[in-house]
Amino acid sequence: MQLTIITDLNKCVGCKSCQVSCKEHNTSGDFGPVPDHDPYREAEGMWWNRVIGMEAGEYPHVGVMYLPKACMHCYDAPCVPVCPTGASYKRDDNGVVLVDYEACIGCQLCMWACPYGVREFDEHEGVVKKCTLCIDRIEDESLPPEDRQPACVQSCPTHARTFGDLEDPDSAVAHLVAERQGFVLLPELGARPAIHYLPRRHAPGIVDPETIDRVLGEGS
Amino acid sequence: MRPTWPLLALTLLQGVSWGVMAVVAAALVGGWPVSTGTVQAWEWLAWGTGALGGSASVFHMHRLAAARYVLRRLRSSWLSREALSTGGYMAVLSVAVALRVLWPQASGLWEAATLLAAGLGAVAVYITAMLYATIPAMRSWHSPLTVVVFFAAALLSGGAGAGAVGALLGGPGLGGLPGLDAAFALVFGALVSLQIRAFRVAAAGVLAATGTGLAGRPYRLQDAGGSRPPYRTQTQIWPVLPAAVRTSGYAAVLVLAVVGPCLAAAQGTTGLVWGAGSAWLGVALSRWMFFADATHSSRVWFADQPKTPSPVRREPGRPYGRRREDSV
Ligand code: SF4
Ligand code: SF4
Ligand code: SF4
Repeated sequence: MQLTIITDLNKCVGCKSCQVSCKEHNTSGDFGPVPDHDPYREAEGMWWNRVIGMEAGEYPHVGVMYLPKACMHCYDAPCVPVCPTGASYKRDDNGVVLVDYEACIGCQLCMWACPYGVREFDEHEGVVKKCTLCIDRIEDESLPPEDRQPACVQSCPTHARTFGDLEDPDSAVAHLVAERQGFVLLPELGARPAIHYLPRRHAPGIVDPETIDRVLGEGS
Repeated sequence: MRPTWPLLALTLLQGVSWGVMAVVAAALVGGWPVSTGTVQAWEWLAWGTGALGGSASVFHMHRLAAARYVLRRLRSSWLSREALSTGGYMAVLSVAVALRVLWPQASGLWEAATLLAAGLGAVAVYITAMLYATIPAMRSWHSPLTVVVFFAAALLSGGAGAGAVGALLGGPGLGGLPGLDAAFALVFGALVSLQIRAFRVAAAGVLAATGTGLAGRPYRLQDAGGSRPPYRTQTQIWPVLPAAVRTSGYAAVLVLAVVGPCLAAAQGTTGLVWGAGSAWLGVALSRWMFFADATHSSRVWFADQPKTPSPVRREPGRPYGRRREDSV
């Protein structure tokens, strides 16, 4: 089993609901806190999920693209073998990559090894933290089944994010990746991320009325 | 990435320590004309710098409570191996120093311990360099050049230190091989020049335009997901060095680490001491640049990148559009 989240870049409107839901859930959850020790002076704080905004294309064909980016729960996670203490590990049963804060010495080597810049150093606790795929929600049997999914997936207003098992060929996530050319970021670095994105479709070009008349005329 | 003083101190002082021990081993094996006192002073220098570097590494750990687990991943983690190899090197070197002081008659035993320490030191420098060279995401470091530069820096800084100590004790610097320090400096300079080029190539390959894997390029970073790029919580990235800082930094490295020691080598004892100071400063600055100028793959989404001008731009010296009075 390899749990994953698929994000449809056509549906993401950059509202940052997933970013703040992640922070809100994890600040109070088992793997938190996601600290803001001095929120008014250092507004940036720690985020496990950052929605990156990018300008795309060149004038006049320009747009804005939003890319929610958290841990990719890589198959060949480079953050795991470099960790000297075994604090970073990948779960056998569901492929989630986690950090055991008790064993972490805060050397930050895993942050250098992760190609995606999704690990964050908590200088107050001296440990590295990151997205847990909301392991404390998805395995909590006291929650109703519909709530056993990551906070960022549940909160997305446009349903851009889908959660499931990438290795189950009948799952929604496996279908989305297979049918919509799901892709991963920086594949050349060999981490084999589990998290996939669905590519943006280009907006259809604008056709002027004369062209429509001409084409219709040619057809008749 | 952000340079931190414990990493600078650990990697530099470990290099000096092993560089001095390489000179000691060469003097013993090659029968260099140096006094016993000089060799002993060299060994103390190696021990002192190694002990300081090892102590500095403790400050790189932010949670000492978990330090007991640091050897858990010897099978895969170069950091676990670094802890073991550097610890082993210092342990054997300490035995050699202690033998010389406490049991001076046992010179065969001392020589064996010294040569073993020099061998272990080479392994420790190799492992430390591999820790950096084997990270594919650190685009600038992911190269065998990193390992070669670490060895060259160790030989230059250790050789210069040993030469200065040898001269201060009244001997002929590096035991009658006067060209050796200048040769170390020239080799280091050539390798640093190659590294400057490798770092530029790495930086050019990491841009927002290449980071999304999508068509419809180019992409330009607008928002790093917070109010600022997370330089405070993500130490693998750092603001891109301004071109003037980078150029003057590398120029200073070449002047201090190459020109200084080469000029000083011909100036007798005082020259060797000044040359060693210059080499140490140059190597230290080069290590600072190694961290500060390194490009990590995640720079795609966080750091500033050079601005490209919009095609809708004003020609120099011409106002936007036509003036109404011109068209009347
Ligand atoms: S995205 Fe980074 S932190 Fe997450 S599993 Fe991959 S390498 Fe590790
Ligand atoms: S910072 Fe913690 S989790 Fe990361 S490599 Fe070091 S010990 Fe492992
Ligand atoms: S899965 Fe949970 S921890 Fe990970 S980004 Fe989403 S909300 Fe945050």
